[in-house]
Amino acid sequence: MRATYNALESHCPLIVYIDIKSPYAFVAIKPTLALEAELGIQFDWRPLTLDIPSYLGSARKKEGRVIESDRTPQQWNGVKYAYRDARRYAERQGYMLKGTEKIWDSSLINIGILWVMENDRARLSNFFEAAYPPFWRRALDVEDIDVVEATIEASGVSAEGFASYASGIGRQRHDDLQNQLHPSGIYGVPTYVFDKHILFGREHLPYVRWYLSGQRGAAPDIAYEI
Amino acid sequence: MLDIYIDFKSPAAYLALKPTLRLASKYGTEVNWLAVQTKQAPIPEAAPVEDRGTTHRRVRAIARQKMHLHYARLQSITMNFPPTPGNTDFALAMLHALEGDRTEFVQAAFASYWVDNQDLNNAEIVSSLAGSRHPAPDVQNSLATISAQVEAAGVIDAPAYVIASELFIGREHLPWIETLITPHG
Repeated sequence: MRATYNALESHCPLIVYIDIKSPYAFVAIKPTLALEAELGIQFDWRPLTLDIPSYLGSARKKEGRVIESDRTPQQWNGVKYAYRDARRYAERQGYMLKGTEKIWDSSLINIGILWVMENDRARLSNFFEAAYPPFWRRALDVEDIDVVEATIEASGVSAEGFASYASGIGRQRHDDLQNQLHPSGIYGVPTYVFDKHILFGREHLPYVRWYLSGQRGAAPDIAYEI
Repeated sequence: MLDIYIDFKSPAAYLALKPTLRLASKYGTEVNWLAVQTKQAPIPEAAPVEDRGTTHRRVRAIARQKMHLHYARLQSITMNFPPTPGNTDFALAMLHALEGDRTEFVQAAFASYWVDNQDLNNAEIVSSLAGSRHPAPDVQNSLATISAQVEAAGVIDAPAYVIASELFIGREHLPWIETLITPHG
């Protein structure tokens, strides 16, 4: 079990930062897992718990209607496009993506990523499948410790000890990592960190593949591969 | 026909130029260049005390500029960020006013801004880029029309592609756009 995390360093050739409440992170999971399998390399998956209201305003919906918001019209237009865009790609992947009704505190389920990485790395993709699609169907309360423990168990990973980890050393590791991110130049999800590159967005996966597989031929441009 | 909304001061729109032309050429598709006014801000200076949102925006702005420069190198194109983003209103009005194939003007205007850092709100510079094809446009009227067009299309940034009633913002969508292009359409 590791003692601490350095935001830019890993024993793996690639670090992937994700957060369950980002629709862009959701649609990045499948292609990033596919790249991991294709290259036969284990990536170092880590949480980046977004503080969305600090840069994009906050909002709360009930039954599809906005009941609280301090977003500007421009911020709303950007958010609406982002959801429409992520939704069409999620549907191509066979998933449902419903807009969230509030801005979640995703730190608990994100500590779950550290737990699975540290205790049963081989089942990480099971954990993503148990957590992300239900969350985006509005069927997972990621702030509820019982729900998060059940999600960990559903992925085939033991959750015994998770509650004390989540309120103790796991929380400490998560918070310590979050404090390193902005000073390291990391601000969003998904972010890919490798060999002095810090690239935000799954559109960089073609470049990541090219780089990690020997940099043969011309480097590719950004693309959402379909 | 592929509609693409651009602003000459948008680094993402500049980087979309070559891949978009390559895709259009592959299918013999005409590109309809349309104008959109985007907001570009200089990278904020770090303040001794910042709230989290201010830090986020500064870190994001630095990362985005580095990312654009990275892909400009991969595309082998020159990309000189001016110290403060320029005003491109006159060039956008000219783009709106020109008729027929505007690709030549678009290429010249992008190069003027990103290679030579010229002022694309300067009537003389922009008119020279357009050649003798068109008299100076009425900037205020053109911008009002552009704004109405952009709002109707739901465009919020550049480059924005509209094809088969779908809106895509960013050249990263070109693989999907390619599936919607009808050859010679």
